Amino acid sequence: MGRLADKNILITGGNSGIGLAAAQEFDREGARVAICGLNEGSLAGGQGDAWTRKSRHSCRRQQSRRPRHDVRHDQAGVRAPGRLFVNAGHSDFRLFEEVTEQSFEQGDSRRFQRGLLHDSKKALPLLRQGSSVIINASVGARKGWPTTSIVSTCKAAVVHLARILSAELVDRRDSGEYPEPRPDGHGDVRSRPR
Amino acid sequence: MFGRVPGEEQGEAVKAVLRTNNPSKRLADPLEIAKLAVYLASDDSALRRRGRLPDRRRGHGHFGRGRLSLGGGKSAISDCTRR
Repeated sequence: MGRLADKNILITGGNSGIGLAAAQEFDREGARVAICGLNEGSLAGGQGDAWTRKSRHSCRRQQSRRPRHDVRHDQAGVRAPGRLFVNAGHSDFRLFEEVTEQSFEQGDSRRFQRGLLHDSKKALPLLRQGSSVIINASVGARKGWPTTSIVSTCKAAVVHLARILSAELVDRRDSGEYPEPRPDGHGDVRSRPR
Repeated sequence: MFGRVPGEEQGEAVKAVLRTNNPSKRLADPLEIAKLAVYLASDDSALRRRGRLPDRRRGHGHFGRGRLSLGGGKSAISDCTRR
C-alpha cells in the first residue's frame, strides 16, 4: 500500500512539468488525484500523455470573454481533498526592458493569478479540517538573477502568499482529533482527514 | 552571478549557468521535486506540518520553519543565499 493510500489530492498546474510529475507520483503512492491547469487540451487528454488521458480532472474552462478555470469537486471521487498541491509556474527569461505587457500576462503572472490565486481560493472551501496546503515556489524568490525579473518576482509573491495563508488557515490545524461534522453532512466523525 | 544574455536563447543560457553553478552540476528533474511533494503530503511529514503552523501566541505566522528547499548544494557553499 502506498504512502498516500486513500488520500484525496488536488493539484493546480497539474498538466505539465512538476505538477504532472507530482500527480503521477501521488497516483503511484495510491492517492486519488484531481488536477487542473491552463492547457485545456492536455487536461482533456487530446494532447496530453497517457497519464493525463486516464486521469480524472476536476477543472474545466468555462466559455467566457476571458477564459477562466472553475475548480469543481467531484468527477473522480475527490469530493473533499485533504491535500492541495499548489503549483503554477512558467519560466520566461527576458531582460527587464524586453518585458512587455503581453509577455507578462501570458507568462508567470497569468499562472500566478489563475493557478495559484483563483484555483487555490476555490479549492480552500473544499478542504477538510486538518488538510495540508503544499505550495511550490522557487529559490528565485530570494535571488537576483538577470533576466528573471518577472519569474522571480512572481515566485517571491508565491512565498509571501504562503506566509499569509499559513496565518489565515491556522484555525484549520490538524489537532490530531477527529474532524468536526460539517453542517452539510459531508463530515465524517469516524474518519481522520485524508 | 552571470552577465546579461541577449537573444532568443536567454532561457537556455540561464539554465546552462544554473546547471553548472552548483556542486551537483545539473538541474533538478521534476520527479525529484515531486518526491518531496509526496513526502509533504504523506503522514511521514505530520510533525513537520504541525511545526509549520503559525504560533498564535506570537501573533503572526512562522512559515519559515516549514520551508523545505531542494537544490544542487549551492546554498551550502554560497554566502549570498544565507538569510
